[in-house]
Amino acid sequence: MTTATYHAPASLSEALGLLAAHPGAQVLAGGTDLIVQVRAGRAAPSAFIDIKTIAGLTGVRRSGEGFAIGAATPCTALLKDAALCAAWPGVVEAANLIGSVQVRNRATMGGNLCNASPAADSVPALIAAGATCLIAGPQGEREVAVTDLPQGPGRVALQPGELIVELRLPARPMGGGDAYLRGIPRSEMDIAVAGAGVALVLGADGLCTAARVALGAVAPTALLVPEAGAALVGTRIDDAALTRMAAAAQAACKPIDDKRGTAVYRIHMAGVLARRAALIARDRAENNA
Amino acid sequence: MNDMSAPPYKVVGTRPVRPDGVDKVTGKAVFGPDFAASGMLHGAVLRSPHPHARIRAIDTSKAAALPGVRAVVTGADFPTLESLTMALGESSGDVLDIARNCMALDKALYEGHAVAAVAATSTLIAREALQLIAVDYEVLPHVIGIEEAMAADAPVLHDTLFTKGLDATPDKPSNVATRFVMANGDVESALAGAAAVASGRFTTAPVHQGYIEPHACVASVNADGQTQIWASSQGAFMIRSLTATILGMPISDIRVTPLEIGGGFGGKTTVYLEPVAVLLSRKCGLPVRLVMTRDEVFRASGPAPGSVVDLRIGADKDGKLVAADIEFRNSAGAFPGSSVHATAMCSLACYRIANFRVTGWDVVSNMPSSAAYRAPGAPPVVFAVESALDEIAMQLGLDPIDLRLRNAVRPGDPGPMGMPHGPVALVECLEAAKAHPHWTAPLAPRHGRGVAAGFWPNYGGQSTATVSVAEDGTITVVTGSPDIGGSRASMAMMAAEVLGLPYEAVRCIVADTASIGFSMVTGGSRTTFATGKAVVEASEAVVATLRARAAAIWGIEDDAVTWQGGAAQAAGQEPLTIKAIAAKAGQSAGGTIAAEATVNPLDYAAGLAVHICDTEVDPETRQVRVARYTAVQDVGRAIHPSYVEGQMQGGAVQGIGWALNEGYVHDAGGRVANAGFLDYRMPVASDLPMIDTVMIEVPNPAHPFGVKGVGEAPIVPPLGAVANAVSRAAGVRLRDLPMSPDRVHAAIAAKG
Amino acid sequence: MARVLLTPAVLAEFPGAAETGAVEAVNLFQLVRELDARFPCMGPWCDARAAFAVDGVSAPDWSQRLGPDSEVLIITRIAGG
Repeated sequence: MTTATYHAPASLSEALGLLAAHPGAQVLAGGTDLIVQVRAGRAAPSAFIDIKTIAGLTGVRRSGEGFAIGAATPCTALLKDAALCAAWPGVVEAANLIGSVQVRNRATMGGNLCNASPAADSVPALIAAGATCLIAGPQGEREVAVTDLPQGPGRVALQPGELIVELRLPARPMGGGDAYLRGIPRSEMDIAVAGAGVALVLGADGLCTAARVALGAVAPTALLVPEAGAALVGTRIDDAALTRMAAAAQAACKPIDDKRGTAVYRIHMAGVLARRAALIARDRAENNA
Repeated sequence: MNDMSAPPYKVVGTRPVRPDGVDKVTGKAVFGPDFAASGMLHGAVLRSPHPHARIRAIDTSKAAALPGVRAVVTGADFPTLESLTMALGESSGDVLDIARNCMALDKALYEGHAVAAVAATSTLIAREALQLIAVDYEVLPHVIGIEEAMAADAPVLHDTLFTKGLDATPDKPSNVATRFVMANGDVESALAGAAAVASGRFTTAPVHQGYIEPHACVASVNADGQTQIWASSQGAFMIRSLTATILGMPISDIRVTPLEIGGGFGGKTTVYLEPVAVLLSRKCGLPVRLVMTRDEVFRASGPAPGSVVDLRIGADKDGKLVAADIEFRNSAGAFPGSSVHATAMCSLACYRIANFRVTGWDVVSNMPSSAAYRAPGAPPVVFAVESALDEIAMQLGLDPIDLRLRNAVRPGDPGPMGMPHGPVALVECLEAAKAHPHWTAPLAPRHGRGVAAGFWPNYGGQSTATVSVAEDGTITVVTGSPDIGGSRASMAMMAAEVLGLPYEAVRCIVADTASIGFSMVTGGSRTTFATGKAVVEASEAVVATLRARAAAIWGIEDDAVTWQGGAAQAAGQEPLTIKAIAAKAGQSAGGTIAAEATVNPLDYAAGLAVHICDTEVDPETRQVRVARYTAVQDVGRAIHPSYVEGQMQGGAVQGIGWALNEGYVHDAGGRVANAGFLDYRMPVASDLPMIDTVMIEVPNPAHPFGVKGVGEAPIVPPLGAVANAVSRAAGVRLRDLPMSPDRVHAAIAAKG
Repeated sequence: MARVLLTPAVLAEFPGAAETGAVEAVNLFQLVRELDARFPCMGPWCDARAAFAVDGVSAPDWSQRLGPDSEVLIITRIAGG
């Protein structure tokens, strides 16, 4: 019988060495996706490289004016960082919609990103917020925008031997606000039928100066929709602007019919959720002006 | 109500802690998958990846050669059985079908159908061995949907299935097992003269019972054939008789020990694993454990049938129902048997309708073989009927409860199977619903309120109980009825009431099949009624013995002794407590005091329930929120009111799930796409409001305490109650379950 | 002669049987034997799947005496969950 090996490296370099030595290895953070997949026979790694034991990969720290979130930081830990919650409430809320409390005590945003489900809740929020991730690998370190990482269901733009070290969020701009909403048939413990993350900035005159709109579960990967953001810029996020934004969001959708909902409904929901998220983000931005 | 309405009970009607509670909250309770036997092997089952395939050959040699593998079985290891029928307790089943469902022989009939099994020294080795089994499949075209399966050009599952109940016997096999017709009067004339007619097609998806504990068992076979099985189920005797029949063993060679059960809801009234585990154990001589994964539970056990119902129901201008024409088709899954008789029987059972025609079709397709689920057959057709009544109330401008009151059946009315209705209390339930503050509470914007009624016949049947007095005068009650809803507590309470003792002095256990007489499955809402009757009879026999012992001690006639407050009483004598009598038991000729009772009562009484539901439909997301819910039910007599309320709430919640988001989803390849609790969307706690309960107690005169079954009736109304609420909130009739947000969105969009 | 009523579910199993008929029998055991003689396999079927009502009342005890005017209803057993 073949049995996977388990490794708990103490350092990033040790982890990278293990990854290089075990071509079939997978990185284990919270394990809330990976372990389930292994038990169901959908994944069979030759080795588990547990990154929770690496100093510095767990926890939130200030990075200049922004934030660096270790790849092994569980979602519920984000709630304990008051500065992060104040700056990027949409990101923290998105991460804390995943699964149940018990799942979120283990699950990480890095894992949510690497699992590359089109319906991952934290990913549209991170994309809207303009997050990047720091990747380490055999060739050294590189920083990639979160929006560029997902390549399709279950596929991310990581090279062999690479792992995500941390997620980086910029400082919240003056007058900035963000929000993430998802649609699920139940009230919790479900997978998004559609999701929308919005981050925007209001100028001193109340006009929107920048906006990013990202959608989940409506295409093979989470989508950044520049046309939707552009529809808000220069407006007071009024009804007409929201309608144009929602229409642009819906136009970008390329969903499928599946067990979680129909394509028609997903497109409908993308507009509804983007609009509602934009209104929450606007309210937050007004409070931050 | 008769004079039983306010009886002087001391224990019955109180709410003590259940005897199994401590074990369950501390994690000590041994459920199916928890049991382990010394030297036990671990089994795994290979399942068909194809929904329909001929099995040309199976090569197990590589699996058998894997180190650690001790036994491999396939369908060829099962005895060849004639297609015989047998009494399966209250239900009937084709044993050959059950055997073939446990393991395919020449054909795999659904994705997940067992084709081989392995026992090994570890689960990992067993699973690895499965990969080494080579099955040569000839993939056949498959069919999932009911109407597709009924089509003339549909792939046929069984060459031997010829439709029963047609006017002429068909000359070729099909997927339609049975047509069943129930009719009276002149439907067409009555409908033509009706002032209001509701008509349309209603559909429901197959749903799973959703018990948390997966199917699991351990089997241990000795060289002399004597066999032990430890399993959780709704009937240890059911496991014993089915396993013996399927494997051609004497029943007395099998002893089944029931383990604590983590939910059944009807889905554990048949066998899936036990015969396979016995065959594996017989081959290797060691105990073998089989446990389903959640994925296997969804793909290979349950579900309840899906349905397609066409109906027309008419009423006169006063709201009196004049005629109903119902044609329903139930999806039986891989083998016939989708409760068409019960579906037909329950469809109109709540109402007086002179003219009716009910036609039912039992249809097989490439899905797991359907199993009983709480009031099997009733909820989908009642959803259609109660939706139609809601439309008629709207057309005539009538209060929906008034409409139902105008037509409600009363005791003595003709019943759906030809016998008159017993002590049905639908009128009392409807009046209680109408008087409940919920019915008249103002509705918030975007909210809708629905009401629906439901009938379930319940059952009685065979049960055995023993009641024995310990040396200190405390009591042990033994039954053969697995406790799926608090029955150990209610049995102890009924015995305590008869014996005049406090609840804590009586303990109740569920015994293995060698330690108690035959008892049918815990199902059909029969246990508190029938097994309760056995417990009461045995308790009364013990009281008679206790009185006789006291009479002997006092030297007086038995008749001069009464039994009150747990003691013998007679004029001029100091009372003799049960403790004192028990202490002397060894000194008298009588010896130990115990009694056994076996019963087979069929004077059970039907359950009637009326539910009110408020829902809010989000104007943009079209998501449905259940805002308020009230369940009214005639419970006969609530022995333990908390557990009766729990049954009512549980039935309501399962019905809400059935109505809103539960349902099997198949992909184009005929495979189940949502075989897990993540995507099979049962309600979570935060989806639900408190379920208010109103117990109406119209006693069943045939039971010493007035018990009627309570477990199944509460899942009959919710589908209609929720659908009526959503339809009124959304302004469009929702005819297809589940009413997931995308369905509600589409219905509203289609209306424009 | 007891009058026997076969419900549709029973008729579906025995297509040749008539909906009603008269049977000379002192009790349900004898009635089932008589029916078995008329319709092949009805006896074993009744053993396994039938329930009886005599004059509108469920009859679990087949030894119950039938009167000359008894009406016997034969239905199929219904499974519960």
